[in-house]
Amino acid sequence: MKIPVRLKVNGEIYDVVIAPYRTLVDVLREEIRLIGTKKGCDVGDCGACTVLLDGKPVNACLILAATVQDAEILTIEGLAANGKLHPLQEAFIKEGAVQCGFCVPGILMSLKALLDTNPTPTLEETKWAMAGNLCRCTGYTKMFKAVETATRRT
Amino acid sequence: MSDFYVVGKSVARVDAFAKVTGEAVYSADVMLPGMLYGMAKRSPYPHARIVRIDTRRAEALPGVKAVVTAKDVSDILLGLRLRDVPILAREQVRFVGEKVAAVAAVDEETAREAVDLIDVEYAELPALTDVEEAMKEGSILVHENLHTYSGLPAPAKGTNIFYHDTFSKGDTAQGFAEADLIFEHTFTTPLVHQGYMETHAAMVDVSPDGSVTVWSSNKVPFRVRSLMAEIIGAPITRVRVIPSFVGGDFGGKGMVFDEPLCYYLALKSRRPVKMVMSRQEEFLAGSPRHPSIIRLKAGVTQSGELLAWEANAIFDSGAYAAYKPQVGLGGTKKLAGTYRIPHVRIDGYYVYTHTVPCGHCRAPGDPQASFAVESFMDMIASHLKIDPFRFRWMNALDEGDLSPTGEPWKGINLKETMTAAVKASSWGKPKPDKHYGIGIACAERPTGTGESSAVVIVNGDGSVNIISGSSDPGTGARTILCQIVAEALKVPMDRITINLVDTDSAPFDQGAGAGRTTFVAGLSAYNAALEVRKELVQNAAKLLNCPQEKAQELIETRDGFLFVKSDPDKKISYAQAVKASKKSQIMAEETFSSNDMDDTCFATHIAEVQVDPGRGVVEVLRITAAHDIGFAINPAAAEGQIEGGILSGVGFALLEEMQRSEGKIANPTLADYKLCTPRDAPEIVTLLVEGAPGAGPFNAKAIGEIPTCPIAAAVANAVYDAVGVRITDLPITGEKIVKALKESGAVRQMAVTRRKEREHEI
Amino acid sequence: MRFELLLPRSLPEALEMKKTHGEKAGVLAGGTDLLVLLKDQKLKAEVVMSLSGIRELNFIRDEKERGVTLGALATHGSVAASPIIRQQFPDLAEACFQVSCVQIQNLGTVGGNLCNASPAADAAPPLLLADAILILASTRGERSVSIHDFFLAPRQTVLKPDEILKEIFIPEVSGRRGATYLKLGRRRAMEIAIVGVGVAVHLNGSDQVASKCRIALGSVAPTPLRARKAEGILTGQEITDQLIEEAAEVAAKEASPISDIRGGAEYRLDMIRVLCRRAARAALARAQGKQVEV
Repeated sequence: MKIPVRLKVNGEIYDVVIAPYRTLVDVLREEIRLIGTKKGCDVGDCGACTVLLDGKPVNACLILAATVQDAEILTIEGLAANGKLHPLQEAFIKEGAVQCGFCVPGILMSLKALLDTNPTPTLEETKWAMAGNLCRCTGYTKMFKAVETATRRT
Repeated sequence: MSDFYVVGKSVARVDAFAKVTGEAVYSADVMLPGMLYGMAKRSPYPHARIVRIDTRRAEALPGVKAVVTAKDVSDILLGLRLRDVPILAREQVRFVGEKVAAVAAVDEETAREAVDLIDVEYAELPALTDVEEAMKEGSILVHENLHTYSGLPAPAKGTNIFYHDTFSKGDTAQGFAEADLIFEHTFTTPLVHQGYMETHAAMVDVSPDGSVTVWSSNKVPFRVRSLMAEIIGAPITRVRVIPSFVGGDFGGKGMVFDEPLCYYLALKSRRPVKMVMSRQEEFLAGSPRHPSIIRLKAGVTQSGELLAWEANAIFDSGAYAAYKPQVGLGGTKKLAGTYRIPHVRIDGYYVYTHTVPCGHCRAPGDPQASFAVESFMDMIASHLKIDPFRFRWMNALDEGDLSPTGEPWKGINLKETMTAAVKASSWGKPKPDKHYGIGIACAERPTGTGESSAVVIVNGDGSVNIISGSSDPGTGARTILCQIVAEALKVPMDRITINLVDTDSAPFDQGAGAGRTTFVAGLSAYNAALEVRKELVQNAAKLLNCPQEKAQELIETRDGFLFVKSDPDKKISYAQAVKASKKSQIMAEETFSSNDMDDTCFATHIAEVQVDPGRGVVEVLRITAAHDIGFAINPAAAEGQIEGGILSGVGFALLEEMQRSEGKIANPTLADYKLCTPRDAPEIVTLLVEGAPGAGPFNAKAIGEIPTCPIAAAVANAVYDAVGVRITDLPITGEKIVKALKESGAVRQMAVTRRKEREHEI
Repeated sequence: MRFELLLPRSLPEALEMKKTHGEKAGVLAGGTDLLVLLKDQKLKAEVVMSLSGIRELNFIRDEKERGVTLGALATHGSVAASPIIRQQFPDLAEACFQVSCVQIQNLGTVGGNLCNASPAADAAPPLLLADAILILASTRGERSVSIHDFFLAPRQTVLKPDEILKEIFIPEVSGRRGATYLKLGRRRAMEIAIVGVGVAVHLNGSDQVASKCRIALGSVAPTPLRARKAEGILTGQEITDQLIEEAAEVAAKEASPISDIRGGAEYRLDMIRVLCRRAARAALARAQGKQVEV
């Protein structure tokens, strides 16, 4: 039996009617149609579905949408503000850190959370912050470089 | 070289913006009104007869709109070359995870429940899960009707060895007779997954008029089109494949997976049907890298010169061979490495077993071959007490040498990569720690061939469209095509657009793979651009008072303008040139097709590791990778391929293994199938060694796959250097290292034979 | 997975619901264990009760001289970052920081992890070292259970069908105590421990004589356990390398590791020895006031 659920995503309110066992990643993608958040494994092993929940990176595939109605959710679509790219997005483009792009939304969310609390992370800290996000294309090298570039600018 | 306009520069990828903002649409993101979710029922047994399938309970579940079994689908056997895989298992199942039925329902939960409600009665049959058993005379046959299958490169009957390829040069018997020492060893590598982050996804919509639209996470849309047309029994014009962004491929997305099932479910339900493979299904039933058993035998002089070489490789292909475009694996040819060897014999055996069907996984066969060859080289060097670099150097191919399999390669740049890597790394320097190690390995890989077409259009305002059916699953191909056209036309990148185009709107393209895109698609785009340029120039000549017959010689282009060389200030825009043609656009289409395989490239990797002998844990500190690239059209993109390839090679060396237990995959999750995380990433130093001429535009060579080749052996050799332990079956786990240290040395000792009359010299 | 979802807003409401549904209701905290089990169809639940709305269960409270209390919903991430925990129980903070990755740490709760009763739970060895006490609540009232009595078998605890874990009380440790938790995985993140070892050393007057020594092992038996015989070798003794060696050897004998996809039994036994040695040395050094990175 479906239940009404209100979610606050990227600063906007979405009212949906869903089965209570629907996960946040599925509701974001299918009911709300924000397809930027990806599903790589659906069980929290890859980080592709990383979103920010009250500023903290979490796996949206391991959250029931109905349990986060009080939270501020940020997805990749909310990273650019007023049409201006976040320094991380610009740096990822500039440094060639994007290949197939599938892992990128999740990684950018993890990195945004890092920079929000630690504006000048060391390489080690960057690696810890990203450790829950798998990428098969890039070897991560240029992503580390992009973080350096982004933090020099901010 | 720096008077290039835009090639040779690390320009931003043309599709990066869409990816960093979440706008990029991948196949699973596509949603159509009325869309249903499909799911497959899979066999729990490695080998069984299907006695009975009862779908009534599934069909009765509310929300289920279609259920199909083998009787509802074509009995065609599919395959990229050897056609042996049915759309749904018919009469028997041959591996755990093989599809026996499928459902389409209004949501995923209902689909899952419906799958559980399909009753399948199986009669279990003895299963062949050991490849060496499968090769024996009189073993049960995985495919009894092998001899009736189309696409067999050579007749085969009554056997599980569906293909045997062989390469030779000289006379190995003579070579071994002349050798002072003969070394032999066996190497093994496991089942490994491509590890793309986006799982297979497909959607099919069938129009009331019977025409079919397909969305698919696939890097060969034209192949999908022709296979689907064949399946539905219609001309290929009745099928349209619409590409989306592809989230990584690495060889695993070159064949149809669920597209045919989506079609039948869509046909039956009269609604679009989408199927997305779960991560677990990817491990059960993707098309992973072949496990291998590689026996190497080398005959060497006392001073270290390679005289004779024999390689015998067994590739466990699993239950079907359909996922390989050439039935065999290119890696077989790499089993004698990058060395000058007068007498060589290589045999590759491809064998069926009742396990997951294997396919192409980044540089198919090469990482296995490279691991064996380059570990073996170090083992021999160690025995001869020759430095591993020197041993390779003295045997390394030079320009003019024949390849180990007798081919006259051109542009042999091996030693240049060796020198570059050694110079940039800590090779030869004192060790910073007792358990630090450094290892070297080399590899070779040809540039892939194929056929591509491209259309280049200069619009009325001088902006440019490129229409290409080639695929960019993350390789940067689309960006490189823009750079190539921008270079040919001297138009800035921001005035060029290339978009994803469906198979109705683009001319044929063979798709991505074998590192062919820069070469084949690149040349088709380059040639089309040059044709367009010719016509622009001829039209400009009218406005620049230049005689038509001298136009090509005297007129130059720059930044979207044309001018006579001697009078650069009097320039006209491309828009003006188009106007002068009296057409709304100037357009050209070119096809490029090549089967010329002697363009090859080389790489040398040096791995530096720190080993903790207590736990056996290997930390990869740094990889120095020198790649013979010919010319890097986009250096950042080339580096990106190298860095990613290296990390998957580190995974191959240390972490990755799909563990099998009686034909079943015991670790079908990303928790237990270990891809490198960011914390596992070593420092990577990439050296793009330019200069040797490649077949591609501006002398570019392929780069997409070779980075995965030498890295595992480089790491293995470094581990040996660090703690004196030689592991010759991948992955090199902490457990194996600790065990080997306890047993002091190697898990399996290399066999060494001395020539009889030299024994007194020991 | 398909289930009815209950969203209690207070602990009493949750307890009433648990009483009504008993074992039929899966209790959902962070979701990192339960939802994975439900998705993999390793578990079926008709009813799931999410505790996410019960704010009063999510806290870390400094009880001053008594110790520290963790609410059942305190996440691994908040425990790892908590100044109180980092100061008083650095091994617990270390263990929580080594759980999987940031995302899982932000969702997964220490309480939920204990109730899931995997022998590999990273927070378990440090809590075993500290003799933590679990408060279990039901409509019938509350009862305390020592962590040593809490785990019965993999995925089985002493929780009764109508009970929910409410809090974890960690009694204060006085005097000089050094402790560490070492986790062995194949990769450097996103791992479940192949072997986990926690060691705590208490010093009195001397810098070398351990007044108390505690050793806890994870992933090497059906439940996390204390290696009490091994502890006996070091407690009250002057800690030498040889004694540590002996204790490590005995600790391995107290374990009963299995071979599974993550590692073989023999390797695990070897690693118990190696990690015990290293953890003991590190714990001793920390008790002596030295800064030790592990």
